[in-house]
Amino acid sequence: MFKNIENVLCLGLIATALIMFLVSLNFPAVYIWGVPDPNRPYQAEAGTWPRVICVVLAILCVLRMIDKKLENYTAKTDKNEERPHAANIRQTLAFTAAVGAYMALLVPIGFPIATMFFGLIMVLVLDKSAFGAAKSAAVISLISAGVIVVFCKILYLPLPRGLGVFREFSQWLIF
Amino acid sequence: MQEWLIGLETILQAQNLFLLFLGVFIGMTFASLPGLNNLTALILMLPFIYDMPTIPAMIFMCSIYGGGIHGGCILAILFKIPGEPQSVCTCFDGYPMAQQGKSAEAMGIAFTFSSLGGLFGVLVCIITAPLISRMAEAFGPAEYFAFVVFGLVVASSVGSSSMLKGLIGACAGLLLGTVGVSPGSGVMRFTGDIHILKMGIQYVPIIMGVFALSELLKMLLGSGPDLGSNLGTLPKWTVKLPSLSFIKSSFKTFLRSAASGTLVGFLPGAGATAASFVAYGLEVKYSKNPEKYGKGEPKGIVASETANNASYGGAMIPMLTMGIPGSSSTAVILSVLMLKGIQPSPAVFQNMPEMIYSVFAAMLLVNFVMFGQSIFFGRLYLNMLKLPKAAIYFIIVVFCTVGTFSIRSSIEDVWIMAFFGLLGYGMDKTGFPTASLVLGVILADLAEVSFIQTVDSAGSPSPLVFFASPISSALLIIAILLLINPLFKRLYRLKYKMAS
Repeated sequence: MFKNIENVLCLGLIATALIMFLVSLNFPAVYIWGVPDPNRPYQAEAGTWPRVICVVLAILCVLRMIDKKLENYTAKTDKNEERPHAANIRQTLAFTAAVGAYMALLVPIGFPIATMFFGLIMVLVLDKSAFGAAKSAAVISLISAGVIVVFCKILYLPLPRGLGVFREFSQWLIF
Repeated sequence: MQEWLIGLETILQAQNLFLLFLGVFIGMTFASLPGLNNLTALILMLPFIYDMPTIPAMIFMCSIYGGGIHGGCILAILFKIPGEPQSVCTCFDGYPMAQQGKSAEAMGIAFTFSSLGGLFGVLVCIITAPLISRMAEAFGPAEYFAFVVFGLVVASSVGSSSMLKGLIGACAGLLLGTVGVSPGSGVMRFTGDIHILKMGIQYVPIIMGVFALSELLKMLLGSGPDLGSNLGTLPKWTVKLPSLSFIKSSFKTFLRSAASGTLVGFLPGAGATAASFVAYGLEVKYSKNPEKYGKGEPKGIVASETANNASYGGAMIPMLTMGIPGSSSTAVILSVLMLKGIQPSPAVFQNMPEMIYSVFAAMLLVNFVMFGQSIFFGRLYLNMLKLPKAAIYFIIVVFCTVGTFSIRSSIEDVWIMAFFGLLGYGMDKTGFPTASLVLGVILADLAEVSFIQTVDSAGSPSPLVFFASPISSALLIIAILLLINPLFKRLYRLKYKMAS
């Protein structure tokens, strides 16, 4: 599955390099280290370096695609490539969704509440046995409380406090 | 001498000593957990250093790095699970020794030679770094650009199965580094009028996404060692230190492994894993009884543990003197300096001797502290294995989120981290080395500024302007040779195939 993705990735990078190259042509002609000097045969501008990188990147991607084609002819493909179990895939999808939800809810409901909920969801997603889940829930509750106190109360990091009623709750809870 | 006294005075302050002990403990704890490593520990501790002054922050991070390299041997010997990739070679002889009922001896050898190897690497760093920094004072932009190119090429050739993939990763990193304000001209580039991109893409979200979040995905999908592995009953914790006669008889092995470890550590991108494999390979090659290796030969542990710890000092040399990281972990330490507004260069040795010599003193002391901690707290590290899997995943996600959000109070950075987490997983599955991408992003500014200065001062866009000085020419020629080496290898193989 991932072998075809490599070509897609290379094509995507070539397209990105091409777009960035074209965009860099429109950068204003502001010269590095001062105004244009008519006595100099060449002066670099803001788009020079990105254009160099875009060209090199595109060439490397083309070379890699050719290289892969040659590899396909010469090397044997490994048909016994280890594939993840369906249960692992389900767990990973659930984990990814939980992380996405945590990040999305961080600003609206605030760091303390989002973190507590996220901890409990992690237990549901990652610990299947009843005893393991109970133990994990207890440990995570303690860790959540510790994390909130350390980051919000001791280090005073500027973390989201939530909006509306959640903000008030967060203020009451910790800030 | 005065600089040393200042460094010692700084490190012996109660707060700094505490950070040193704590850093070693955290590093060793992470190294003792399957699937996690010193890099994860360094990344997760980033939120704690934002408000710290530079010197304590550097002491803390260097202690985590040192402790992390050292701690991987415990699981490798007891369970044949390398806590760190660099402890793979320790498994070869450590686990058979444990099976023969000699786990206490194996542990003692690993701890002793880890600390001795670490001391060797740090001493080499302390002696050579000021000399290299004095040499680097004469470097112009062309030499710096050549160093960056050399570093990226070496990192690409060592860290990946295909050099092209490594170079693509590095170039993608350099291109990502161009987003935001152009250094020198102040022109906005590739921002698409998006506010967060106007300040450029921060490297901390990229590092956290690529190195920490993608690791979690890898572990969940079963392509890496998983946390919460069922290791059964934990063995009794005993350590038996090696006798003086064994240390004497292993001196040649130690010297060979320490020297090769420091040298490999110095090479950008190579790191402790390559160091331990090179040293183990050398040991088998030069041994009178190579057949004993892999079956419980104590000198196998000596070679592996000495080399991976010696690489610690080696990797710090290019980072401190020129701002070119030797490994992913030193890239994170470099990002700490950059977060504090310091770009490592020869000038740092002149202007900030207190910081440099405090770091040197901390690196020396770390080796003694980790030796003591591994003997007295070993049982505690083993008990960390009982932590629920959900708790460790939870800590990693929350610490990464907090670390990313706190840089500039921006939720967009958190999404950037999540994107790079997925990208990092994809890159890993397709064999593109993530370390090259991160090195590219971190070195992007240095590469651009030195490139533009060279081209501007020469008044020509010709690539030949980078070959004007002997140092830059030498570095670029080595880089070119490294680039064409795989091509020649392939042609040779093709010729051999056709002939046969």
